[in-house]
Amino acid sequence: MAIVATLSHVYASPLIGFARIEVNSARGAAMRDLITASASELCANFKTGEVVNSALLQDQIARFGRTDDRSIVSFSRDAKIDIIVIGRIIDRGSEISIEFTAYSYDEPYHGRAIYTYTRNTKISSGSSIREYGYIAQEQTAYFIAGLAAVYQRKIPVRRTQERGFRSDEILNGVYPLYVPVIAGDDGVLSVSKGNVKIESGNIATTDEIPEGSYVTVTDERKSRQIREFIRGRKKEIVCEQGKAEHSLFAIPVTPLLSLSAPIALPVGYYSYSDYTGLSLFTVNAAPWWYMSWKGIDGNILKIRHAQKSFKKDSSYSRARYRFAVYTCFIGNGGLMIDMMAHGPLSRAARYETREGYIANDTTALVLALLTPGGGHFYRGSRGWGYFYYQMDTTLMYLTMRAYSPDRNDRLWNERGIVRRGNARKFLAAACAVKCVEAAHAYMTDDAIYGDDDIAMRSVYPVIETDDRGTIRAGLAMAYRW
Amino acid sequence: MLLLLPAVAHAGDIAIIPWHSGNSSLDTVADDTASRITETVIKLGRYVPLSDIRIAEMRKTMQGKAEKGITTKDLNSISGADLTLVINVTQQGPISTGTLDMVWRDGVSQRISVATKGFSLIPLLLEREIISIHESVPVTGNIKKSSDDGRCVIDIGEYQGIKTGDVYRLEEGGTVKIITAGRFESAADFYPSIPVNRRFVIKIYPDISGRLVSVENKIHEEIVRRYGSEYTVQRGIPDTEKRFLEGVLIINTCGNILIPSYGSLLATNYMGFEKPQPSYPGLFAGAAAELGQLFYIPYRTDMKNWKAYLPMNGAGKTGRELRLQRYFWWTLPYTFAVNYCDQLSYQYANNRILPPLFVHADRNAAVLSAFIPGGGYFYKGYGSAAWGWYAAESTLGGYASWHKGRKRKQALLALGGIKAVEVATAYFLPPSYSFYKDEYERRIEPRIGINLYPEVNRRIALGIQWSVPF
Repeated sequence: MAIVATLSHVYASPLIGFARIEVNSARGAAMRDLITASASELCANFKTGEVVNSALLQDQIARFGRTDDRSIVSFSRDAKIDIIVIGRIIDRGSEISIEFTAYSYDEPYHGRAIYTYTRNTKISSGSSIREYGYIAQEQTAYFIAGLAAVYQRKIPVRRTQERGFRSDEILNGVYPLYVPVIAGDDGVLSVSKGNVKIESGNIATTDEIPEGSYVTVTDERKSRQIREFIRGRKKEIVCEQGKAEHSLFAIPVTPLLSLSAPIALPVGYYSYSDYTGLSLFTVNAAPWWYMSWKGIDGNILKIRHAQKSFKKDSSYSRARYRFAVYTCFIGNGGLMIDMMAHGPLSRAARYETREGYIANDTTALVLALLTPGGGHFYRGSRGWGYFYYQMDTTLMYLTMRAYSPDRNDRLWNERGIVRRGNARKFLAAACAVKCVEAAHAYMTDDAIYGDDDIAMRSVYPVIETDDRGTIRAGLAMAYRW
Repeated sequence: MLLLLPAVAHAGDIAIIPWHSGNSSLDTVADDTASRITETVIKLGRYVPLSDIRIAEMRKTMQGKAEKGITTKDLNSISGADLTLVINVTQQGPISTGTLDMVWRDGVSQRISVATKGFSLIPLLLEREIISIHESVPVTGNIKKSSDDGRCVIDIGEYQGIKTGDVYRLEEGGTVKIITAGRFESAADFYPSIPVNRRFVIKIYPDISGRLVSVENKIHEEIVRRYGSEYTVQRGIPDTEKRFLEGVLIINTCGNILIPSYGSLLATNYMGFEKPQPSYPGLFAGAAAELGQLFYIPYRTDMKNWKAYLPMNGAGKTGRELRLQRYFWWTLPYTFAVNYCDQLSYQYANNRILPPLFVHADRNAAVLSAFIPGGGYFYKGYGSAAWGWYAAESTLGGYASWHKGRKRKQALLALGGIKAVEVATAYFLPPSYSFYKDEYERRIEPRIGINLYPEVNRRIALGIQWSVPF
């Protein structure tokens, strides 16, 4: 074990070995070598452990003669390697799937899996070794950070001369206590007995603690440091520094973008081959565009003479006209931002290019205030973007209807929900949602970081039929994007 | 090896032996199958695979005895494992067959065979069989040692899905509480206590659904890689979604304007079919729909007046007729698209090719159904049902255009409901292409049937038929 001394306490950092990482392509093999090298460098820099020389380890395992998981994990116990990592890197052409599982024979694990890390990373076929290196470093950092946050390192507890108990290292805080149960073939099996409070190494308890007991510590602080380091580094590599002019530039540009949306949106999504975006935009915007089209009575030329139409045509809807104007100049702005931002964010996530105009907190705030859902679309969060788009557009429409009395509006009467008395409530609700949206957009991360944990996808029930026609119920997971 | 029904499976060690016949391609497939099955066995946690070195020694011993023939008893004595699997891959002409011989320690054996036109599916198909077998395998453990206070060390742990603190019922009666679970051994308390070295069975079964779905997805991907249009008629053509959109919106539309209905057949050339064969029922149905949309209102009003043929006032049209005619003209592109999808669906089925992007068949079918009436059904090969959806939706749309007020709203509501049902069912339907279904279900199961047939002396004979699909 490598021992690192700090000012007030001594920690021993674990020995980590990457034992068997299966690959299915040359690109996967290159990624494997880069990951093990990055792991070694990261662990040394952040003092979270020491990585065994990978080539030496592979050689020893081959000599040992047994390459199945059970044998490798047992080998790690005999070789005194605290954490052994087994996994695979699957190259699927446009994405690489990384699956690592870390095992340990240290107490309290007794061979169990400590941490499983699974990621799908988008990668383009034309990526160079430069991009591989960055992606490998990023994924390794998230893996090591996750491992450091959960790996419990054993600190023995001993009886003192004063009949109290003390940990071998100077600790302060609340820590889980483990007591031995029985000795097995693979070591002593132990069980958790709750938490104990430790002050300057002294355990505050009156209960008897059996010999062989220990407490465990994790390294969450270093885990956070590693995550902050790698995210900051990625932002420096793929994003140009944000400027105030970029944010202010959004203000005059938004109405022009919104006006050009009916043509620019379908053409833009199509030319970027962003069919998901095209489908989502069609489904979400179609009802509001239809309402706007009815607002100008299906005739663009009527916009100029709309004021006269109010007085002449009793079936004309003032509210819909105003809504049409809102949609033309503001309502489509968020969708345009989605179409324009999706490509640069994807390229930045893959380290392909250094992008300007993205990852600027102020710009996200300005766009969230100016356009429905624009702040979240700017960040690359389509789910929240469409949520706020629908909320903002619905509230704006209801507000306009409440403020625009029409004789023929069946809903607009003193008994209906869309009446002048409720107009201020709708307006207040719209402003409140806008404030929440702006704050949320400001605090949301950009969709350029590769730490979407597959295990954190949303889970929903699904009912499907198999090829025999049998109904099968189960669970499905959905990506966040 | 005898073909017998399996008894209750016992857990423990498993020897997965890929048989090497000397043909390097077949041996590689056998090794790949063994690797996949090993990984599956580890993930499901009911058996512990023996190491590669022991497997190699066993195979060497078996090859020495192969000429005299190997019985189940020989195999058990060579392997020493609780379950021995021997994987054999053979090829006859275009058909490759993968055989899995399973022999349990107590002498029970079973053989599973799969056949396919190509090697790549054999490992996945056999892996699927192994997963299905695991569905009924409980956890079997052994008590390694016991302390004075009755606490035991058992040889099962996290690997078999055992968790710290859980209490399990034993098959023989009683319970076991897991005090702490390691990877391959755990500390436990038995109620009532059990002597050391005694085997016990916990009736918990592995959850195979996730693994099964995963391997079925891989089988699906592999079939698409063999039959998908991106790998066959459209090989080398980038961006197949764009090509399909261009085909529907531009090529097919122009084709139908020039030559109604037949233009759709010619437009299939854009999707890679150089000599397309027409689907005559589809051609006729499409032509009838298109001509009906163009000429129904003129027929009702005044065929001699040119204004009757265009969606404009005049020729004595009522408001209803004008609305209906506008509806017909607005939905003409949909009819063109339906025609195109029908002709494409026929080409795909006829040429044993899967449509583009079939890897995400369910999603794409739902999206197509959302935009084109019956589009998802055409995509999955259900041509007749797709025309049914088109007929239903266009009828409701026409009814909504004809009427006003409450009837119109009811018709639009019904149309929305039908569209939602169509999208949902298009998503959940399995593909109907026969070559796809044949590859997906490749287990060789002989079928026995009885049939009547005429003999040469004009007598009717009763016969028993035994057939094996290939």
